[in-house]
Amino acid sequence: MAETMTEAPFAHWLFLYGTMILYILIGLVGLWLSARWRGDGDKPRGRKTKPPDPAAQDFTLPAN
Amino acid sequence: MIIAFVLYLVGIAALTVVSMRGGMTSTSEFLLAGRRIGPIGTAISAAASARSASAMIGQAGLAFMMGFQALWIVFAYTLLEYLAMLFLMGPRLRRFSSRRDAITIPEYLEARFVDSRNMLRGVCAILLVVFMVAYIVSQYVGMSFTITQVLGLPLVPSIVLAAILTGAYTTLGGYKAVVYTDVMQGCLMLTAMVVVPVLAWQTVGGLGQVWVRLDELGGRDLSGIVGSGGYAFAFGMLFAGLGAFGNPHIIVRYMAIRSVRDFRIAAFINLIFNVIISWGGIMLGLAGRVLYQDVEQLPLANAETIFFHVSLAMIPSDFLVGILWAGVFAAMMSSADSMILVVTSSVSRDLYQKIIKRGAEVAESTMVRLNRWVVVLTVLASLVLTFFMEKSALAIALFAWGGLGGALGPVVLLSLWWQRMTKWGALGGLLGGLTMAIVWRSSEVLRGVLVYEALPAFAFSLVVAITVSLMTTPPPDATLADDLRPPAGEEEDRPVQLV
Repeated sequence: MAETMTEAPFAHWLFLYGTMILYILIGLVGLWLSARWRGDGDKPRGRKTKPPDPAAQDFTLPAN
Repeated sequence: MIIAFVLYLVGIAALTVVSMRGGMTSTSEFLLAGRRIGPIGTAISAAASARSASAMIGQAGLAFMMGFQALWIVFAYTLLEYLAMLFLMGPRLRRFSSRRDAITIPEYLEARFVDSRNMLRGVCAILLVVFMVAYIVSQYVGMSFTITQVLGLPLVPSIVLAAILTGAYTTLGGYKAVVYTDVMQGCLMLTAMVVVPVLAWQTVGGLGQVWVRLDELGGRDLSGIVGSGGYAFAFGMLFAGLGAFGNPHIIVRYMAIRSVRDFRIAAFINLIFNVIISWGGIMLGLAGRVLYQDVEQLPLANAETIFFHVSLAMIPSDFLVGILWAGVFAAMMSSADSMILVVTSSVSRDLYQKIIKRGAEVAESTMVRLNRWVVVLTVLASLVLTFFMEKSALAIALFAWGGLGGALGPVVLLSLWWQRMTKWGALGGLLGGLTMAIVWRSSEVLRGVLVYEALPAFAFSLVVAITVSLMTTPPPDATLADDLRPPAGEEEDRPVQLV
């Protein structure tokens, strides 16, 4: 009888390899998510706070 | 093989010398390296300390005996340790402990609940000493076994050598030496748990062949994702992960990290490390069962020798085998040194300096000397106990993991997130969780319902802590919220809007 490649059930593939991949993905997602959190003294990424524009607030009354 | 082991010991000695540069001038320096450990050191040290012989050889042995369903045991603790470090415990514990100058877990509890009577500190410190010494004993038993295999020494000198090795660098270099050696040991552990499982897996022909052969050997009990115990048994194994929250030799690393921001990288490295070690151990056990169909074929008819047996059989170079076996030894050493430091901090800082010598000024140089002597005494006490408790080492380690996870874990976790919690609730949680763990382990009837006591102890501790807290009044603590959370205006704990 010719030998054939034995395939485990897909469930087992998921159970062993799939969970390993899942956990690594969880770690990568967590790394990405936590990089967007503000840290001690850090400004958040993508949410730059601009200082108020002095010129916009500086108005002078028209001279009468 | 002996040359590889000697090289490993030389590495330990060299790192100890490096760690001692700059001197050791304070208790904070000795116990937490002055809170200057970066993310890589924290991550690998935490994982190496958490993964002792139980991960390296115990899980491989479990997979050998139980087949695929042994994998259930790794899911929970891997994820929970990651979440604890990244979010649930790490940042808040680091922030609070540095603001209130707490350098031990009992000290954190005292500061958190403003316990001027040292009651929480005392109870927690005694709990830690008892459990950690028991844990150390289990590590010494494992280390002595490895030494007998590598060096061919009889058991008694092996145990003594194991104790001397861990005691020496912990005494001299404190937490910094522990972390530096843990990083080296962690790399060895990784190497061992990649090389040997991969070799074994390739030899047996991969997942398909493993599944077929295990099915032939033991039917569903070996080849099934769940065995004849069904999903109830599998979920029961998940609850072993609850120990991740309450083991002080792991969570003390959260207090020592350089900055709260470093948790992001540390948690990720820790997760990857745990995945490789844990899945590698399981795959080794599965492949080992295919290679050696019966446990009687293994040395001492002990499934936990599968790592040693497979590496000897598959790797022609004695030197390489020695390096890999040093990885197993390193796993136990990295756990034992951390546990020794926890005992040291509990005895010298909590019980002696803050309770016995309460109100008195104790010079830092005196405390550093005391710390070193306590390390020596801890090692000696553990050594003596090893000779009496050698046969039940694994059972002791399992109980310590579950008992501490059930008693300390919920209390620390709740204290970081629920400001209404009171010191009486914390005390109730500690004692309630401990009592439940003891009762559950002692009762065959209860263990027939759920084999591992971690879940009932955890749940009972939570219930008691919450109930008693609601029945008592917390002392006023104006800065509690600020010391737990990031400064006003900085939302460290809440994720930024993604869109």
